[in-house]
Amino acid sequence: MSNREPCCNWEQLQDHECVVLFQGGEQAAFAELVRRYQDRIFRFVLRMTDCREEALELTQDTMLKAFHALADWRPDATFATWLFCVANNATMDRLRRKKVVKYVPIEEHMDFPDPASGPEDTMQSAQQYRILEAALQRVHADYRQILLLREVEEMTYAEIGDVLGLREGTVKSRIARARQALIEICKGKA
Amino acid sequence: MKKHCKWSEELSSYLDGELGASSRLKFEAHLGSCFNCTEMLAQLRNLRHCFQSLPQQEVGFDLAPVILANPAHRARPAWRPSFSWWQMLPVSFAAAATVSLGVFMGASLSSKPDIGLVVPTLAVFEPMPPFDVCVAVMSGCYPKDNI
Repeated sequence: MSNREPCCNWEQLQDHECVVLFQGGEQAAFAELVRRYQDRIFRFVLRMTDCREEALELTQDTMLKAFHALADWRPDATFATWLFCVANNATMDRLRRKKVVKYVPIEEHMDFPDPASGPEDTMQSAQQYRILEAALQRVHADYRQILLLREVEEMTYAEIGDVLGLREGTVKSRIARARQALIEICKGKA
Repeated sequence: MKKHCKWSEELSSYLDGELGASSRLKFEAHLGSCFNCTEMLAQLRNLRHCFQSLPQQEVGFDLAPVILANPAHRARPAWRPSFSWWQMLPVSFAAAATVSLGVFMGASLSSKPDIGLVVPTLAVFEPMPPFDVCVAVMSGCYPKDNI
């Protein structure tokens, strides 16, 4: 960037353009990528670990690893899936080291609406969110990660496969099992 | 999904829009006649709605300056020194000479004949007292009262 004007409209750049600029020595491009993804990564890690301090630490670790690895990164996948892959690996390593299985009691069962009922019966109360959060902490970590990537991050099966290193067929069956497990926990059957 | 019919495993993929066009059409035709699938699909949609309405926690501050100011970055120099081969020649010669001198000195020391040093061994724990002491006692150098 020695013979080029610094870019002012970082928001207009695509992720891969920021990566290329960073690889050329423009650290502000990496700062922009951090700003774009820090909250998404933080939320993912927070729901995996259920600990704000740990989530902050892991988010920072993820960004640091990205900073060091990005110089040699080649765009085989999108930057987002690569970053989530880094975050997921760091988080799963932490969970494995801790070997802590949290038991979060679910006070009340989630009341799934009758299929014939209207949209007014959908779960919208804060209590239901708490139930879902608690159920997420009780479901297996492999299921939790794949559900978060699908339902919160809205990744496609191919993108989830890139993040987790799984084939699309495996992603498909695991998501189906994860949803079933979560519903059963919410209903108090597990 | 619980296997209540052959389509039950496809519910999740249908919800995610990951079914192929022909499979999707067949599944939609099936939905009209299967109460279990319809009920399960409604539950999955409800679950999705709940996920998407979860509170959006945030870090609360800009992490970028923290990352870029991390000491680990400064420890990793962006500029790496590069040496040409001719710049390394004097150092290489000096190293080779040092090694050669060491080898030569070692070889010359080991080629000398043995001096024949005899190291006396001490029998500290023998049951009998040392010979000189016995002679001294017997010869009366020491008064018997002191022994």
